[in-house]
Amino acid sequence: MSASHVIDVRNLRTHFHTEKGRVTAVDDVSFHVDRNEILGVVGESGCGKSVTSEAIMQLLNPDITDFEGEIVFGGENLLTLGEDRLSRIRGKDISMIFQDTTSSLNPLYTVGDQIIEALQAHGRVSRKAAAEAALKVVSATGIPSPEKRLKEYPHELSGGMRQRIMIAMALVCEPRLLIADEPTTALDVTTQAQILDLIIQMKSDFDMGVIFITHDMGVVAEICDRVAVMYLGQVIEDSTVESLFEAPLHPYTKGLMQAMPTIESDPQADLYTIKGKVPSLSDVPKGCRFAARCPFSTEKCVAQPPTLDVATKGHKVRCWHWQAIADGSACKVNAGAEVG
Amino acid sequence: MTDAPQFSTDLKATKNRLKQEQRSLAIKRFLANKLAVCGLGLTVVICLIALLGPLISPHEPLDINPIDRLKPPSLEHWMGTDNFGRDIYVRVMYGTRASLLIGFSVAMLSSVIGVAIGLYSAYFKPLDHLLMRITDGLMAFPAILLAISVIAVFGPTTQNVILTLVVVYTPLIARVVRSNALVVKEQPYIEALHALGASRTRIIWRHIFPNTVSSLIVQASFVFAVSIITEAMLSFLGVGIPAPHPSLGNILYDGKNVITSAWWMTVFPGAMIIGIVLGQNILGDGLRDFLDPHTHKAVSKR
Amino acid sequence: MISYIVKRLLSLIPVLGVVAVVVFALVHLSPGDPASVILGPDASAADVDRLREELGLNRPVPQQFFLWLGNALTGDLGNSLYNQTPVTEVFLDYFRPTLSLAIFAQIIGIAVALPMGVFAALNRGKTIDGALMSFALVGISIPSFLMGLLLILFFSVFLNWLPVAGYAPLSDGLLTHLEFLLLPAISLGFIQAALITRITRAAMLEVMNNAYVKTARAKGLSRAVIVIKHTLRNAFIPILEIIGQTFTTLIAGAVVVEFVFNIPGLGQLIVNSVERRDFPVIQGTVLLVAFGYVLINLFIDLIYGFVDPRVRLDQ
Repeated sequence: MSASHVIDVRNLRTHFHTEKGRVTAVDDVSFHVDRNEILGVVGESGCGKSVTSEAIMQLLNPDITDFEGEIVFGGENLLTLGEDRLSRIRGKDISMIFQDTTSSLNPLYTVGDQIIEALQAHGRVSRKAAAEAALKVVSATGIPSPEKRLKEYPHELSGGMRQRIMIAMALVCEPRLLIADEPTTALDVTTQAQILDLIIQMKSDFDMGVIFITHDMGVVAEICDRVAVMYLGQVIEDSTVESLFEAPLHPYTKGLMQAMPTIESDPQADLYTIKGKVPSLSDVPKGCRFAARCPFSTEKCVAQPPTLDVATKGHKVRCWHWQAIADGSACKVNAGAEVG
Repeated sequence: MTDAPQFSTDLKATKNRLKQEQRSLAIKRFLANKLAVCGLGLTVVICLIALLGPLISPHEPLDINPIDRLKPPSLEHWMGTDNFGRDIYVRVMYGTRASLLIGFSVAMLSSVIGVAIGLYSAYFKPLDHLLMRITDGLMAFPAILLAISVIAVFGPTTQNVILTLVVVYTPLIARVVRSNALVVKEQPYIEALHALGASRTRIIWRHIFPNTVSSLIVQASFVFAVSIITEAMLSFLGVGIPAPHPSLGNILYDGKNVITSAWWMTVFPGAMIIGIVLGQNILGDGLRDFLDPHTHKAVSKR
Repeated sequence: MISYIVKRLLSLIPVLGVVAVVVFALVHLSPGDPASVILGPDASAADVDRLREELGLNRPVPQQFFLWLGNALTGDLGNSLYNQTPVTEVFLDYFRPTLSLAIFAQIIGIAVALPMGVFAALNRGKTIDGALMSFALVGISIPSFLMGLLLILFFSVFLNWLPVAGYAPLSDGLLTHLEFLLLPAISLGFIQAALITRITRAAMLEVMNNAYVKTARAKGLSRAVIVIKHTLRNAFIPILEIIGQTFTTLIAGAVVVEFVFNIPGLGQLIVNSVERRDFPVIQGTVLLVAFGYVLINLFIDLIYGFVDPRVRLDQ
C-alpha cells in the first residue's frame, strides 16, 4: 500500500533545457522505498541515477529543468511544493549524503558548527542543546574522540571520518528518508566496509528508508534489500536483491554482473565488457534503449520500446524477451553487437 | 628506399594543413566572441581616428591664436580652443596618437623584456631568486610615484616616459610569464626533451614560451591600457609629455584651471581616454574568454 | 599562526632592501651635481664643494648608501631642502589627508560594490546582470583623476552644489571633513567599486559551483544563510586579495586626485617637491610610501590567515 511507503516516485520525467535542445535525463522512472529498507539504484555514469535523487530533493536549477510525474512523500507531491516548504523538508525529513567529502564540507567552518547549523535550521534549539545533539549523533557513527573531532576543520579529517561526519549531519534531525549518492566510491575498501555497516545500522536505529546510489554491484549485494537498475534514464529492472542475484533477467543486468570480477574469476582471462557504448541522451533510440548492444535483440526490440512488467514475484523487468532469455530459448543474434 | 622521401613530404604537408586548419578555427572562434570583436573594433576605430583625424582639419596643433582663445565648439573649431587659442580637435587627435604610441611601445618593450625575465627565472633557480626579489621590490612601489620620481630625476621627455613605464610594468609581465612557465616546466614532456638532449635555449623558447603566450597577450593588453592611463596622469601633473606637444593628459592639465569656463577642454580629451581604455578593457575581457573558455551556459527555458 | 606571521615578516626584508636601493639610486643617478642644483647656478665653486662635503657626496657611493640607510632605519631621513623641517615630519603632515581620502574611498567602493556583485551573481544571465556588468566595465575605464574632473564639472559648474576644491582637517569636525572629501572619494571609489563588483561577481559564481553549496541546500538552509555563510564568506578570500591590491592602486590614484581637488596630501607634496627639486623629500616620501605598501600587503596576508583556516593551520 502506498500509505506505508516512505517515498513513492511515480512516472518521474526530468527535462533539461540545454544549448542542444531539450534533453530528457530521467524518462518515466517509478520506484518506492519503505521504512527500514535500503533501495539500491544502480547504473553506469549518465544513466540518470543522480539526477533522480536530486529531483527528489529538488536541488536542480529550476531555470533550466522541468518535471513530469509525482514524487509522493508524507502525503505531498514534492514536485509541486514551493521553495519554503521544500527547504523545511530538506535536511529534516529527507537528507542526502554525497560522494566527494573533500569538497562537500565548507572548509571555513568546523565540522561541529556545520552539524549544529543543520539542527538550528530546523527548529529553535539553543546552541548548547544543539552541540549536545551533535556530539551524540557523531559518537553514534563510531568516530574516535568525537569531542575533539567536532572542533576540527574538514581538511584536518580523513576521508572516512568526513563521510561519518556527513552521515551524522544528515541524520541529526532524524529524517524518514536518507539518499546516499555513491558515499563509498571515493573510499578505500576497509573504510568502505565500515561506512556500509554504519549505514545499515543507522537505517534500523532510525527506522529510515534509504536510497543507495552506486555503480558497484558488490555493494548492492552487500547492503541493499531491493534494487532498481537504470539505463539511459529508465529503470530496466526492479527487484529484491535475492531475486536479482539469483537470476538477473535483463541482458544489461546480466552484463553488469558478468563484468564484476570475483574470487572465482580466471586471472588469465580478459575482463568481460558489454560491447558498444551508451547512446547520447540527445539521441535516444526509438525502441528498446539497450537494443543496439544487446546480444538478443530482434526487430521488435528496435521498433517498440518495452514496458516495465512484472516478471516474477517482486521482480519487474523492461524487456520483450526476458522469458525466452531466462529459459535459454532465445538465440544470440547479435553476438558482438556494436554501436558505431 | 624510394618510399622514404615520399613519406617525409607527406608528413610535412599534413602538418602544414593541420596548422592552417587550427588557425582558421581559432580565427572563427575569435570572431564569434562578441566582446573580443567589439574591443578590437573600438581600438581599431580609435587608431584610425588618430591617424586620419588630423588630416581632415585645417588647423595645426601648435598654432597659437590669442584672438580665438577659449572659444566653445563651433564650425570653425569643432572641439573649441584652449587658453592659447589652439584648436582642441587637432590637439586631441595628436594627443591620441602620442598616447597610443606610448601605450604600444611600453606594452611591446615590457613584453619582450618581461618574457625573457619570466622564462629565464622560471628555468634557472638561482637567477629566479635574484630576479624575483628585484621585481618584488619594484612592484612595491606605486607606479605613479616611481614614474614621477624617475622623471623628476631625468627630465620630462617622451622617451623618459616610455622608459620609466617600461621599468614599472615589466615586473607585471615577468611574473605572469614566470608562473605559467613554472607550471609548464613541471610537465613530463619537458623532462623528456631534456633526456633527448635538446638544448636549454631550445626548450625554453620553442616549448615553454608558446604555452605562456595566451596569458602574455592578456597581460600585455592590460599594460597597454594602464600605461596610457599612467602617461595621462603624468602629463596631467606636468611631468609627462612636455608642453607644447599635445597629449591627452596635458590638454586636461591646461583645462583644469579654466574648467569652470571651458568644459570642452575636459570633456573631449576625457572622452578619448575613456574610449581607448574601454576598448582595451572590452578586448581584454574578450581575450580572456577566448583563451580560457568556461563551461557552457544552459539556455533558460524562459 | 605565529610561524606564518614570522615567515611573512622575514620575506619582507629582501623586498625592502631592493626598495631602499632603488630609491637611493634614483637620486644618485640624476645627471648633474645635486649640490650645484641646490645652490643654483650663481654659487661659487667653494660653496658647492662645501655643500658636497656636508652632504657626504664625495664619499664612495656604497658608503653613502649605507650611511643613508643607517640614518633611515633610525628614523632620520634628512631635512627638506625647501624649509629645513625633517622629512619624516613633513611626510606625516601631508600623509593624514591622503590616508583619510583613501580610507573613505575604499569604504565607498566596498559598500557599493559588494552588494552589486552579489546581486549580479545571484541573477546571472538576466538583464540586470548585464546592465551592472556593463556599468562596471565602463567604470574601470574612467581613470580616477578624469572622474574627478568630470564630477567637478557636473556638480560644481552645472549644479552648483558642493564646494569644489579644498580641504578641511578632522579638527574642523567630521562632517565638514567628509564634505570636502566626498567628491574626491567618489572619484577614487568609483573605479574601486567597478573593480570590486566584477571580482565579487566572478568569485561568487565560482563558489556557487562548489559541492558544499549543494550540501548547504540539501541541509535545508534558508537562501539568505546559503548566500552569506556558504557563498559570500568563501568568495570573500579572493575578493579580499583584490581589495588589497586595489588599495595600493587607490593610494597611487589619490596622488593625482589630490591635485585635482587641491587637497594638501602626499600627492601635492610629491608634485611640489619635484618642482622644487627637493630630493630628500622625494626620496623619503617614496621610501615611506613603498614601505607602507609592503606593510599593507603584509596586513592583507595576515587577514587572509585569519579568514582561511587552511592557511592558518598547516602551511
